[in-house]
Amino acid sequence: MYQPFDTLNCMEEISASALSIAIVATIIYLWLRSVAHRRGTPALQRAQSHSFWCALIAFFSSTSWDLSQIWSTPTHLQSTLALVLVALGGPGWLALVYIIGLFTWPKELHAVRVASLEPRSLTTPFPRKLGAFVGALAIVALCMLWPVSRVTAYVSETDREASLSEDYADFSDAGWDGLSRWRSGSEVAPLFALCIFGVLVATAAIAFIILKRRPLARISTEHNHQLRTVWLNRLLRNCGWLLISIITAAISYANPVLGHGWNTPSTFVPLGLGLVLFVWAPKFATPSVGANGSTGPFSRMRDHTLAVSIVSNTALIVAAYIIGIAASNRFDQALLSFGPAKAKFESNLLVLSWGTAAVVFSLAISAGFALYAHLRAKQGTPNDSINRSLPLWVYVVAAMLIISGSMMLYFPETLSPRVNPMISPWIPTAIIAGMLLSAAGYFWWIRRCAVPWDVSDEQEIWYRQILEFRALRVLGSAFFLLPGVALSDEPAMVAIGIGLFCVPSLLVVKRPKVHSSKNVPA
Amino acid sequence: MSTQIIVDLAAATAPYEQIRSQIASLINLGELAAGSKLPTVRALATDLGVAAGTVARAYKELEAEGLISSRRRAGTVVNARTEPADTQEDLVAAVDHLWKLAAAQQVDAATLKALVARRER
Repeated sequence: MYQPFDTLNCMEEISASALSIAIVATIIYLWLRSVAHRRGTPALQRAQSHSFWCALIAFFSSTSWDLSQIWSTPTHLQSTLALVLVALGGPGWLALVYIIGLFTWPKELHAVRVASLEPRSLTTPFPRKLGAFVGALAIVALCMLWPVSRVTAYVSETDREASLSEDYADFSDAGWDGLSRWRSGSEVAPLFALCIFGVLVATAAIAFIILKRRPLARISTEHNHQLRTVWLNRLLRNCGWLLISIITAAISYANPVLGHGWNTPSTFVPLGLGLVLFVWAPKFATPSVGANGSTGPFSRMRDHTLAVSIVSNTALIVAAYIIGIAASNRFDQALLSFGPAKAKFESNLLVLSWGTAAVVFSLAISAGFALYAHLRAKQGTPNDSINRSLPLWVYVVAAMLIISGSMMLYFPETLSPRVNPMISPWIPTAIIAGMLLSAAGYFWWIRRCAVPWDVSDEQEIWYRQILEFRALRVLGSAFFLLPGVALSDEPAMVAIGIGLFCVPSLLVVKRPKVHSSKNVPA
Repeated sequence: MSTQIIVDLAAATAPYEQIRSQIASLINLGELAAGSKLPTVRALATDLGVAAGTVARAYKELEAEGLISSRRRAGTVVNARTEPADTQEDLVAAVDHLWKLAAAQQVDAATLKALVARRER
């Protein structure tokens, strides 16, 4: 049964949640509005940019959803309403961001208005194959309700034993007795059903609004049609990711019923499905939104940098996922053999070493793309490399981030007094030296490699600067994420690291004034 | 084919009349074939950013002229034309000739329309 309904507690939870949602919603509204109503930018570009940011914010806000809260029972009281709010967190954020997106849509009206006389079809812009794929995921998620409902209330025997040991106090939250208790399936299954229902209803409602929405003035009917398709595609992919996270959470919860045979598939199949959704961008027979039909050298150069960014960032995200799984497995194995302190040390070491390797690997991928371009240029008549440093403040900020991250690696106890990592100072030294040397080599190479495209000096400088800035971004992010994740599980440091990873390069590197073609990014 | 209509709220002609005349022209020129569906009153009004009554009045007049008909289930559809299409071939050829002439003399579409509109008065 649920804990008794504590009205005061519940009201506090609701008011705190409402305040945070209101603040975040205001920030999202202001940002999307500024993107949609940017002066001097063509209507099509504004609509494209607005659509992209709306989808990106919706993805991050809806997928940062800890479903384990609906079955774990901490010591503090948790009301039924709070559990329902947790269950509806993902779909709620999805709906909220898209609704804000619809309110900030660049729909300015002019005296001269154009409309198509073709009846607007609710089915033509709908991506049927993607819809079928998401439908299949929804069916799988619904099927998972059966094993979920059969789980009995659970207290981990391992945790019961471990809680008696002295070291375990280091890993437990204040006020928690260290026992991992799970609610029974009869209580959790309705919450899972609510999650699935919420995701499907939110998606259906937003899709209907997108299909019925007024077309954007000043752009062609074809582009309006494509924009609708792009919005729907991104919405469905977001819905798919949410369903995958529900399926993964359900498998994790129903592990006692399903058995350990599901562990490996439940790790890698969602990863594969997530990647499939990631690359499932819409395809258009006619020139797509944002494209002007020309494929000039600058356009090809931009496509190249986009490809570098997608491949290296995807590699980093996949590596982070694999490192997380490997660290968890290493912790579990070492916990049984050596106890919690040694297990934590082993997993920390793995995160630090593999994380550094992932950063170096990401830089190597980017350098490899540049090498390919360099070799292509050598076949023709390469010019001397033209480069210019980024603004000085960028290097100053990067140096401050690196110094801060280095201090946290050497002295993790400054992050949290409870941290006792037992890591030799040689390990942070090796990590810092490895990352800085790799970055130095990367910068040297990026400033000297030849470019095969017949672009202007300004555009060539842009190419080198954009690659340099992205590398600095990854480096700065790694210097916060590694100590944040490995040494102290510090959410603020992790948030800063992720934030740095997402800083748009447009804020620093100004795009050369060239009309270029660009497809809608996936 | 994308058949579009343009409504200029700053023009002297009432918006409903602009909608009516353009749809009537498209039907007479065969751009809108018999049996093809028109958007609903609410959808077209939303797209044009005008009141639903404006579009409804245009549709009502078109229906009175026998150009379209509204059916409960099928929506608003274009009626079959009573006169054969080839009777207007001469007119289309003349417009084509006028268009070529205007292009040769570097007269833009707006000026050409203004010249035609002057004939209406």
